[in-house]
Formats: sequence, structure tokens, C-alpha cells
Amino acid sequence: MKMSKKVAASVLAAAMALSMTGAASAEETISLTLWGAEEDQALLAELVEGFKEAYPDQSFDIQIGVESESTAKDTVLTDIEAAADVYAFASDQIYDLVKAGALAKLDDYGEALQGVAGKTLDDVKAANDAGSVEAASVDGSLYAFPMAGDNGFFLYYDSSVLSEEDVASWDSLLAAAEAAGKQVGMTLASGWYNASFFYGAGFTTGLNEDGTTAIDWNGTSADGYTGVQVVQSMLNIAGNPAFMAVADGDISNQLASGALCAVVSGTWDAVTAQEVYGDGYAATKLPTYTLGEEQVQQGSVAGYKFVGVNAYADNFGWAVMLADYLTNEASQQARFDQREIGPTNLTVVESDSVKANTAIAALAEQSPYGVVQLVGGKYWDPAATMGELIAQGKLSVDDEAGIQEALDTLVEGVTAPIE
Amino acid sequence: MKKMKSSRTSSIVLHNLLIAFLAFFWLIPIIWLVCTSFSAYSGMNTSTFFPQEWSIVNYGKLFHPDTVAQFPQWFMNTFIIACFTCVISTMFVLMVAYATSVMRFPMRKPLMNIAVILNLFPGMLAMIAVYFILKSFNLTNSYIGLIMVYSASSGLGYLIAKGFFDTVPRALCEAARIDGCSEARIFWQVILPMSRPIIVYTVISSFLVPWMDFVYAKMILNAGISTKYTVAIGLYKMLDKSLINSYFTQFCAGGVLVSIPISVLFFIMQKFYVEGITGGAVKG
Repeated sequence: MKMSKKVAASVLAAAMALSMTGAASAEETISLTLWGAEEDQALLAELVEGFKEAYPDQSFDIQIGVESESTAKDTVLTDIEAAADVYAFASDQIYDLVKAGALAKLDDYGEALQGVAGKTLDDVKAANDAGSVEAASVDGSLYAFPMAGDNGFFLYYDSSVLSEEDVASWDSLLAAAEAAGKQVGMTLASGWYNASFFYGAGFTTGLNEDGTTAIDWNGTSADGYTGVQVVQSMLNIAGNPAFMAVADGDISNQLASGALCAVVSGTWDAVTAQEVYGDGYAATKLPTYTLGEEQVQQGSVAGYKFVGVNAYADNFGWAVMLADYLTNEASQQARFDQREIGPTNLTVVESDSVKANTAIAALAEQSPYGVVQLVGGKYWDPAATMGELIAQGKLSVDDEAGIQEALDTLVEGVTAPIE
Repeated sequence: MKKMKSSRTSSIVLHNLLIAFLAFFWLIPIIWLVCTSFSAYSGMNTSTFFPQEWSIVNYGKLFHPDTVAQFPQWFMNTFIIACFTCVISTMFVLMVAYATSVMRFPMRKPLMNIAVILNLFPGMLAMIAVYFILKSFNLTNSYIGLIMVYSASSGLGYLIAKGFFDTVPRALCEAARIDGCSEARIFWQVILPMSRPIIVYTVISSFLVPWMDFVYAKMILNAGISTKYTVAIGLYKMLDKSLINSYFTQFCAGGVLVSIPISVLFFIMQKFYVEGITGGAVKG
């Protein structure tokens, strides 16, 4: 008891001495909270140490919490004030987060960044992939730092069963799979995956100012295809016995069961695919599909992961600094080295180690056909229902009127105003 | 006569078959959970009911925490919360039951009715209000806040304990009172020693509340600091899309381990438990 009192007294004395010797503000400990994915925790702890070393004159108290990028929006919006100062999230959440005022506009802090880190926001924009910067901006202002560019999908396949020619188109892919007695898996009952066929044919989705979704799938696309034709192509694929419509979130499970010789998924299934396919593990861009008389490249959704700064953060300047540090070139390189996460930093993208990674190379191959999916909250359920109808063969290829009706219903549901 | 006997045996056989049938279906998920927890594969594989390779590696991993799975820490956190909640809410329940059963005071009946009616409302209704109140007192992300939430309203569940206290002969209390006992002394030294079954029942049921709760824990411990999680949140986090492939069987193993303290408590107190609920139910 006596001892601890003594210690407390000396600490107090030291603190007083410090505060008296001037520069009190610099001695103040900056406390920040940071949220990142559970599997990133070790990496984040390391990066945060690096951040502290980069600014040795300032003492920090940085707490790292767990919040998956995919659920960040829901948790942050539950109580923005209680959310972390700096948090990682998936790119499709940016509109809702900005609208709710949960993200600080970075343009306002560009000067602070320049003063301390010695770079401007334009440097940040130039260092990262243009698509990721565009996706991180709302109305021309940057709201988050791009961290990872691998939130998209492509095709994994077993090269001991399928050849490179086989995986070039859905027709040859399914034929080869059937010959081998295996199946090809893809999730249809999700607006994230099934939009790939529509984007490939030149259809678009967009976000209106009032938060509703614009969608043209029941009409004719810029490339001259009709929505009915796209659905017919999807029905032809889904109706093939070698095709397996996998429920959303069930891909890795089906992959592990060994029935699939090829599957449409993203980097998060890389480890499972590697285990299952062994030496035959391979990945490539998505195949082309037959649309009318022609072969059309299947599109995909290009998703990113960002690090944003909470608009209610106590120490804005340092929060922006930390967010920038976590997404700079060295951090993205470390993220790739440790977690095999695809970078957005152009220097890292071009590095040999990244290029040698099968899954990320396939993603890069697919990226020219990737679309930043702009949709509102009303999009997901009708799109999933449409996919389910196709997966279960509830629509018939010959029934054009029925397909048109289903597409009209989809568009009506998606464009419905927000109450 | 013989015919009647045979029809009785056949009906017994039928009853037992029905029970076996129901038990089978009821047990499938539990058997699956236990089996999967012994699987050598780390992800989710539903292509076979029984794991293809057996192993106890998942249990080993649970006790060698990494950044994701800090099971021993979560277990301790939950255990601490459960112990405090258990003591506090047991006291609340028994004291309210004593007051309503043994003591006579104006407004006794209306208060009892209000308590029962309040208890009928689902606790979730007050969730958001509870959150903001706790936040304004800076009690979110603290175990004290959680313990308060779990035990504060527990007194409303006094009815079963009151039923039990009603069966204790009133003459004993009156004799004690004539001898100059205070109410506290009657409670501690006359009623409680005679009410072991109902104490056991209350202890078990209040221990279970924090042990099984997910919703409030998730809401109040919202800073995402994984060393502060309770078991329920920690296990839930293992099912994240990007983690499920490497942690699913560990999750199952965790699920099995969670049931152990509860089961042990039950086995020890089983005899009293049955006496407790039936004893309390005779006079409602």
C-alpha cells in the first residue's frame, strides 16, 4: 500500500514536471481505436507498432478491435459514436456510410496529411488503382483510403480435369465437366454473382441521388442485347446437368466435398481451393457465355476494401494519419505477404510476388471486365429471387413473355422508392 | 383378460417407439455437433454426417489461443460475469419471494401483479433504451454494465420461489417473530435453511442467463476488443465468412465445452432441481 502510494506520487510528480516543461500538447497521449477483420489482427498490431515508430515524438494509445469488413456498416451505423475512429469496410458500404455521416471527408484533412506525412491526397490517389479511388469517392470527394482490391470473383478450376481451352467458355467448361463426371459451381441466388451475366452483356445498375437504384435489365443493353436473351443464356447454363447452383455462402463447403471441378468464387476461397485441387489448382478469368449467337465475356463485380475515418473521431488528424499509414505501399505489401490480400497500390500490384499469385493474377485478368456495382438496399432481395428462379428452372427458355414478366418484376422491385 | 394385457403391452411398445423416434430427431443435432468437433478437418463439410477423419486437435487448438480464438479468456470472462450475476440475482429473487410470501404490507397484491405483468414483456423491448442509458453512464463495454443488465430485473421472476416459501409452515415464522427475530433473521435462519431445493433452482437458472445470452452481450460489448468477449460472441465471430473455413470445427468444439459447466452443475444439483420446480408448483 505504502509502496503503491510512493509510485503514484512519483508518477504524478513526473507528469507535472512534464506538463510544466512546455509543449504540453505534444506530450498528450493520443488515443485511437481501430477496427479490422479478425484474421487481420496480428498484422494490424504489427502495422500499428510501425505507425508508432514512424512518429516517435508522439505517444499513442491505439486499441485494436475486431469488426469484419463485410459487417462494418451495420455495426458502425448501430451507434456511430461508439464505433472505432478508424475502420475497414467493403466498398459497397460507402454510400450508406457517407449518407449517415459516418465517414469523414478526407479533402478537409489533406493539409494535415501533407504537413505530417509529407504527401498530398493527390499522391494517395495517384498511388492507387484508379478504379479503387473512384469507388472510394462520393461526388468527387475522397472518403476512404483504398486498402485491398480483391473483393471480386473469378474462376477456380482443377487443371488435372480441365484444360485451358475448356475454361474459356461456359459451353466447353460444362461439356468437359460432364465428361469427367464432375460439376461446375456458381452462386446464382445472389445479386452480387448473378449480375455478372448482365454486366457482361452491357447492362448497368446505378444509384440515384435519393438512394434508389437505377436498373435497365428488362430492356435492351448498350451492346444491343435484351435482358430476355441474357436470362435465356443463364437458363441454358443452369439447366445443364454439370452445373451446380450453390447457395450463397456455401461455396467453400461444396468445394471441400470434392464434387466441383471448377467454381466461381473469390480470394477468400483460395486456401480451400488449393487444398482440394492440390497440384491441379488453377484460376483464371470468368469464361465467356453464349448470348444469342455470340460469345460474350462474363462480367464481374469489382469490389474493394477501404479504411475510413469516423466522422465522430476525437483526434481527426491522427486518425487520418493512421488510416493512411495502414494503406500505404509498405502496409499493402505486408498485407499481401502475410495474408495474400490483393493490393490496390500500383507499385505493389506490379511486384513479382503479387503477379506470381494464382488467385490474384486471375483477379487481375478479370478486372478489365469488372464493374463497380452501384446499387441501393432495395436491389439485393429481388436480384436474389431472380437468381433463385433461374437456378431452380422455374422459368422456361422458350417462354419469352414469362421471362420478360420476371424481369419487369425485378426492375419494379429494385427501383421501388425508399419509404 | 389376456387380450387386455396384450393391448396394454402393445400400447407401451408404441409409446416407447414414439419417444425413441422423437428422441432420435432431437438428438441428431447434438450428436452431429459432438462428432464434428472431433473432426480433423478445420472447415465446414456437410457431405458426410460423420467426419472422415477423427481427431482431438480442435480441443487442443482452443486452449492455444491465437488472435481469433481466445477461448480460455472468453470462458473466464463469461464465468466471472455468470458468478456475479448468479449471486446478485439469486439474492434478489429470494428476497422478493420472501417479502411477497411471508411479510404482509399494504400494496402487496398490486405490487405482485405489476411484477408479474412486467415480467411478461419480452426484455428485448427495452434493449435500445438500456443501451443508451448504459452509454450515458459510461457503462458500455464493461462487465459491470452487463452484470447490471442481467441481474437488475431478475427479482421479477420471484413467482416460483414464492410458491415454495408458501409451503413453509407459517407457524415457524410466527414462533420466530414472537421470540424477537427480525425479518432478516427469519429470512436467513428460518426460511432459507428449509428451502434448499428452491435455492438450487434459482442458482442454476440465474447462472444460465449470462451463460447463454448473446443479444445483450453483443450490444453492450461493442468496442470489438476480442479479449473482452464472452463465449457466445467469441464463438459467433468464428463463423465470419472469411473465418469459417478454418474455424468451424473449433467452433463446434467450443460449443461442446460451453455445455460442460452447465451439465456439471445440473448433475450435482439434479435431485434438488426437480424438487425445486415441483415444490414451487404445488401452491402457485
